[in-house]
Amino acid sequence: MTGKQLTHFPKDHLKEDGLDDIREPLSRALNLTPDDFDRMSPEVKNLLSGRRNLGVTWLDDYEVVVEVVSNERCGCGVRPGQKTVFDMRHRIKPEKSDAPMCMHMLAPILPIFYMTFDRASEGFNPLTRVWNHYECGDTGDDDGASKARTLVYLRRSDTHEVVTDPAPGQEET
Amino acid sequence: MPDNLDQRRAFRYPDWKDRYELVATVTSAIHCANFVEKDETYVFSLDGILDPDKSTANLCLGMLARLQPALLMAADRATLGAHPVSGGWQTFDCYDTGLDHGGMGKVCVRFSLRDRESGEVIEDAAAREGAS
Repeated sequence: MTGKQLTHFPKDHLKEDGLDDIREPLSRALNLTPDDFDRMSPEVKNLLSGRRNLGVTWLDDYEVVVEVVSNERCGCGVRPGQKTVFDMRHRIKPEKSDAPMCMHMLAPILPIFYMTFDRASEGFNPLTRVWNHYECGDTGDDDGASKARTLVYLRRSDTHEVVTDPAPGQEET
Repeated sequence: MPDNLDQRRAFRYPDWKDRYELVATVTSAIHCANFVEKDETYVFSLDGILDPDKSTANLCLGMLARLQPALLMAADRATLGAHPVSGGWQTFDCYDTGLDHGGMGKVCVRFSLRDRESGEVIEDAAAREGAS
């Protein structure tokens, strides 16, 4: 047997959890009444629980970089080496981005952020280590051979150090 | 039909690309965790490039990614010389399913076409060209 054995929580394990640690600030920020908060699904509670595993500031500590690695055809202006930077709430940071914000290239990135919240709820590095390569949705006449392609990675938002730790923010046991 | 893809994708009225822009205006926003608010906007070129300087809403990919088919549709309509904003598919909502459907919030937008220079909302760009 190699590697660490992982214990997965049941999907709805937070069903009875009142999330009292974030109830007040989140309710205030999102204009949620007590009834709204109590209607929250177990899935959303899991989404919100990442802070318990990766630290209360994890959404601000990291950012996702989408770097263009090739583009031989598209006229939208994206070039290898250009980047689009997202915060962990999947909002583009225009001040840190230098690639044209072509939605045909960026829209396919969205699943990254479904995975970041899911992985954070389990205490893992929020960036998938499986689906890191993406491509523009525009196929063209060459079966997609020359379309724009991107590589996605996670970095610290302050130092820009690339983060590959399996579970950043947690002490090794 | 031309063999060349760029020719097939050329707008019937080439100056539309510089003259017009697409605007997705937020018509409602409920419990949005990215703090997108009603009346804010996302602004795009007719070939689908987001303009972050003209956009006033937070650039949430959960909303923006939903608009990509509409951007393709607008470009396709422009190749025909039709008004780029479809009358049938004009409104879009974000990928968050909302508090009552297993999600958190919900943002909705409506597309319009705007003259870049004057800011005038264009109801029918094709009619201005004398097209039917």
